[in-house]
Amino acid sequence: MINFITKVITFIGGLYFFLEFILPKKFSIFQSEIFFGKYHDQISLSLVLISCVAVGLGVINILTIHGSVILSKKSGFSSSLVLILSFFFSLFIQSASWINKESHLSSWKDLDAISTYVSKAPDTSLEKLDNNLKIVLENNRTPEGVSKESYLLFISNLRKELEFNLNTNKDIFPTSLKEIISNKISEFKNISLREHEKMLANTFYERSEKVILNGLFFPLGASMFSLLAFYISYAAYRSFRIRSLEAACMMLAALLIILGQIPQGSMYISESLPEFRLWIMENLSTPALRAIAFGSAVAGLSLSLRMWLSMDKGSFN
Amino acid sequence: MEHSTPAICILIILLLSPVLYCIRKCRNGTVYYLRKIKGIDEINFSVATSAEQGKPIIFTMGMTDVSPLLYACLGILSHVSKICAKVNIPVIVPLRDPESLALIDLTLKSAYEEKGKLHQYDSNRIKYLSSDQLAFASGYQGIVHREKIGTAFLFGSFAAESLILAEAGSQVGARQIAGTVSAEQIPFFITSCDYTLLGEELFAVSAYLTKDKTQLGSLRGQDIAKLVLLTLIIIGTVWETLSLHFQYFESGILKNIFSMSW
Repeated sequence: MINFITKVITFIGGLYFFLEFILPKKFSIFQSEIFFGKYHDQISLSLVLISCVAVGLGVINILTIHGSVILSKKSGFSSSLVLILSFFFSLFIQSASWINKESHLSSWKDLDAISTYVSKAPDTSLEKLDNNLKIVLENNRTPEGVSKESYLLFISNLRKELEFNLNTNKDIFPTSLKEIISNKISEFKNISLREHEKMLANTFYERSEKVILNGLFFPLGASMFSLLAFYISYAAYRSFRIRSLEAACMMLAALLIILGQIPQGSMYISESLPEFRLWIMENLSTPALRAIAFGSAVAGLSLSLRMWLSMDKGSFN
Repeated sequence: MEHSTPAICILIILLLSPVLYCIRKCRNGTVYYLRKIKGIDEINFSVATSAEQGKPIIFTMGMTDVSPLLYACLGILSHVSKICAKVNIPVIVPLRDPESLALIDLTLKSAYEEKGKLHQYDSNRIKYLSSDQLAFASGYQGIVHREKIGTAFLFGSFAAESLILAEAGSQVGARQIAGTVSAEQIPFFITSCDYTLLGEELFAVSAYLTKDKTQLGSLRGQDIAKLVLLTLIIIGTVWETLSLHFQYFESGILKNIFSMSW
């Protein structure tokens, strides 16, 4: 029964995404217009929920594996202990830093809302907008890090600008005026917020977050990536040993490409080497890569069809 | 592409019809020839060698997320874990994508159950390392060195970490079989692994090993679909070449047909 339900859900899900892709966004059937995929964004977003659950699965897996190693004191339990402690420490610091930022910056979000309100206000009611803006801005919380006086000064300047434009530039296009006001709010926000963020960056959580990310995580990642340089040289050395006809061809092609790439090749050997390198890349290498891509795409398409129609026996039950 | 055009719709039908037709034909008893692929034949031999040495096996899917590619890789994992269950050697599966964790767990459990060795199954051998590419690579390296891996299987989608993974196996003297659809990573695997499956060969492994009729028919259908694509490429090339010399052949007509909306 469960198998049957799974197959039905798979089919319906696949059918929706297939139709969403092939059907035009708007079409008519029996004199009624149909907007297929009207809720596509919402449906796609709901799939994010699966990822959220999966993150939890990953965390449980880490805690189970390393927790059992620590509890049974197996070999390498100290590494597992370091991993678990680092995990909880990073989690605490990142969460605390996020909560800290959110609580300090919540009063600034109102300004964003006002800016959006101004830019989306109907063109016909500029005077109404002026009145609304006055009420909204004056009742708004003073953003954190800004003095009450500076905020009131900003509001009064903003209103003066709007009134001036309404009285003198009668022919001004309303959309541009809204844009001017909206930009003024964003400008005020950007300048004042930058100062406030500088102050926030000095808190314990923010500094710890920087140490974890910039001082540990990124350098460790860079060290791993730098290993590639050595591995590439070693792998190249192994593959350049001429053991067969294919290896000889590969060696020759690689040599021509290396010589064509470096300036010394055209300077000391032949001026046509860069052109020859380009010819090998465009006429031999690219078609081979495209052929692989075509093959993989067709195979992926056919496997998707089999999955959609639940034709395979499947690797799991 | 965000949305299909009528020409793309026709192309999809042209590519999928032979697949459905051949699956049906194969299920009705038609036998299709499958060429020998050395890399796939080596899978069983490599597992047997590891069993003789008493060394564990590692199976990674690199950067593969939940997609048809993962499904193809699970087919191979299922086959490998069945042999491992039979000969009593552990198979370790390090992961980068937590979404596939449950599917891999089910695949391994089903394989052990089929061989009647469910009591030997240890879900702790599926190790979620990290979603970060380089952290995953370093975790993989650590496992390969600590566990003294006998055979490493690298199937799926890979990026810059491919050589780090392959060199780790090479350093401990493990037999390595790789297969990837990431064309840029193929040279790295060829230099560091014993056998490398190119692109679509990875999708064929499961059919090759299980001889399942649906999968065999699908393989044959894919070949016909590729012929359709090849015909289109030839028509396009000839048309564009003729457009240089004759006014009748308008340049870019195929491109226009495919981009024409409803």
